Amino acid sequence: MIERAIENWLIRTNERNYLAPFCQVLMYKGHRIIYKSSHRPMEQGKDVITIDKNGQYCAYQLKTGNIDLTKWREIRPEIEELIQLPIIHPSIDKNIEHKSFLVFNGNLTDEVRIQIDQINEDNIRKKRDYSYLDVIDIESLLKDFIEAQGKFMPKEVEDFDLFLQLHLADGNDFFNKETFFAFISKAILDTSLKGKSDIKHCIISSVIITSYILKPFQEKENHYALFEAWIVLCASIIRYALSKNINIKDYEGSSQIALSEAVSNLKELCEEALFREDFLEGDLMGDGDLMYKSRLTILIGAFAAIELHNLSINDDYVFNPKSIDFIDRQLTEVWFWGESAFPFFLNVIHLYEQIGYHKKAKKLLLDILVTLLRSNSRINSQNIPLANPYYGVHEILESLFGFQEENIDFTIFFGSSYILEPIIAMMARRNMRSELEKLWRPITHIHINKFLIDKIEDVFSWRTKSGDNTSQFPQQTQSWTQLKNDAFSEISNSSELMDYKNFFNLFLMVYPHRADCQTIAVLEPEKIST
Amino acid sequence: MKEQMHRSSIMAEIKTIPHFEGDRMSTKYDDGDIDKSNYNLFSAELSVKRDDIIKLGFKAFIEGIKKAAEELKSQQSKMVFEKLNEVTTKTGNVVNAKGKPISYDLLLKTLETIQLDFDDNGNPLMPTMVVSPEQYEKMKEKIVEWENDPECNKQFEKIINQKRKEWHDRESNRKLVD
Repeated sequence: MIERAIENWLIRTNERNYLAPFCQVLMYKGHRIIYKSSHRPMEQGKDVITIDKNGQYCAYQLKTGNIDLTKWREIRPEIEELIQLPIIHPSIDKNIEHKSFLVFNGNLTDEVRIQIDQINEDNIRKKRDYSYLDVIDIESLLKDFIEAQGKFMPKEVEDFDLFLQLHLADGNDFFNKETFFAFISKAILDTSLKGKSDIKHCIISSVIITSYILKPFQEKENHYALFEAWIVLCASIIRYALSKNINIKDYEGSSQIALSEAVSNLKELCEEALFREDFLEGDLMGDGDLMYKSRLTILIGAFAAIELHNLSINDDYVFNPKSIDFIDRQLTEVWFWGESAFPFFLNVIHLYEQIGYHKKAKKLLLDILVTLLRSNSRINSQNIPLANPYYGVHEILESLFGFQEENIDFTIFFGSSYILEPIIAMMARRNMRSELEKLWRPITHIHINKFLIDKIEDVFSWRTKSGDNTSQFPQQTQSWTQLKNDAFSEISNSSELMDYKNFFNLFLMVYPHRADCQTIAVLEPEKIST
Repeated sequence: MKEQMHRSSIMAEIKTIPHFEGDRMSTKYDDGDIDKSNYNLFSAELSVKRDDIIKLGFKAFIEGIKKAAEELKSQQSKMVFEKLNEVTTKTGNVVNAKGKPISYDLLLKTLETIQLDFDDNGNPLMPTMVVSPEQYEKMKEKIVEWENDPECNKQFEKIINQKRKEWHDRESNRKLVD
């Protein structure tokens, strides 16, 4: 059944969507990925550049559908660039020859096949120093995909059910992260595996099967759902690798592909947002007001996350003024729907600090604390309290609009908070003593909740059975010196997670219940302006 | 079932916060003491006779659900009171009536042992008192009597004023220091 699903997806999808799993197929065949395009037309006609297991450089141009003469004439300039221009990459000698491949999820007509043969023969005969052009059509692609998927497929009826729930989604809604995590962790990333090659293979399979699962969301171009799905996969791979104690180099390729897909989708979301006059979506009857404001909250968090991500991979990155302008303009229109909204604002705070807008960053942090105290104070019954971070925006919206079978009882959140402690720590690290002093009394009336995870890999787990749900009130009389020392020592206590620093600002948007003192300390800038 | 469980139950007065993960919980008190506990499973049997289903259809289940809910309610309440006993015994917050019926003095003595909070206007946030249905029947008339007795009111006010002072002291200690 899965084979039919692969075929069904592969025939209908486009090059943008089969790029990531194709890279995984190449990795399965022993290639090392040197370059993978981020879904933009690339110069030199090369979407993917690899070194194969024999040390030979390979360049791939990916296309969609059948290639007949009309299509061939259309793409021929790109193909000429593919075979004629050398690979230009910082780590590759320009004089080194490469093999060229035209990859497409359709068939080749005989006329085009003859033309390709003639081009190759002519280049050899005339001793042109061009690369030989090979083709990978749907038949070869399908064979490779099925082989790379291997035995790592759902076997139990329950796993098939999870697969179908995801694969048959309408693609317009939020992505069901819980179901996806359950499917990948249970059906694909097999914890019983012992051999290193099997473990590596199942990680590769997880990337490939994710591409098929996301078909409905790809078709609807639901960038945010796709972003969330790839982040869940990346987190699942990291968790699995940590639990299996395997070396980072053995899974990094796969986790990087998942991460780059997540980033690409978030970038596409932001690019689309820049050209939109408004952000209404779908059926207008159900849009506007809180729904609209929550979309803006997600967008400002996404813009900030992309800017921070770009900076994390390029020290010389110049921030996009359009992104900053978007955040500045929309920040007054957003909605702090609950504690699960915090990571979106956290990204904006960190971005502002990177730009040098320290006052704005501090003001935003303080505004969040004031909102939290006003909403969740035990004595205050005027406001609806902020739900804890285990409740996502869609659950909160559905509950407020009465669409849930069992609506959330918001009163249970009075007098407690998960994000209070990390906010206090952030303010202490920023030397915001006078602000905290004024608010210390109401702060001490809020119970600090936190979930202490037993095993480090479970930070990347959607849920874990192993851990302690703790609660305590903040100290009534609190030493500022102690508070500040504790806040800074949290950074050194988070050293185990520092390897994932560049992942965390994206990860916490998708896993807001993991935004605690430890994970937020990982994200703090090296030099915090006071 | 859930609704039925909370109907006229002390459980309805207690905030229930779902935990989505983990295998245990702990609460740290102001004195540094940590109370650790594991999750307990509550279960009840729902049994309905085949003949009743044939005769009554779904209605046959309603009585069973009510019984199961009562059983779960009783288990939960038992657990809550066991926990209360454990904590109060540990902290010494126990007033022993030594078998005597509840008197006004005993009530005041109990009030003296607990920490009382006040709202921003200085009004006491009075705790809920849990007594057995039999005790409640006996107390009903006495409560009216106590409420109309000036001497009782005087003693009550005295304790409340003392508690208000303690609360002010506590609140003024809620601050950041060097």
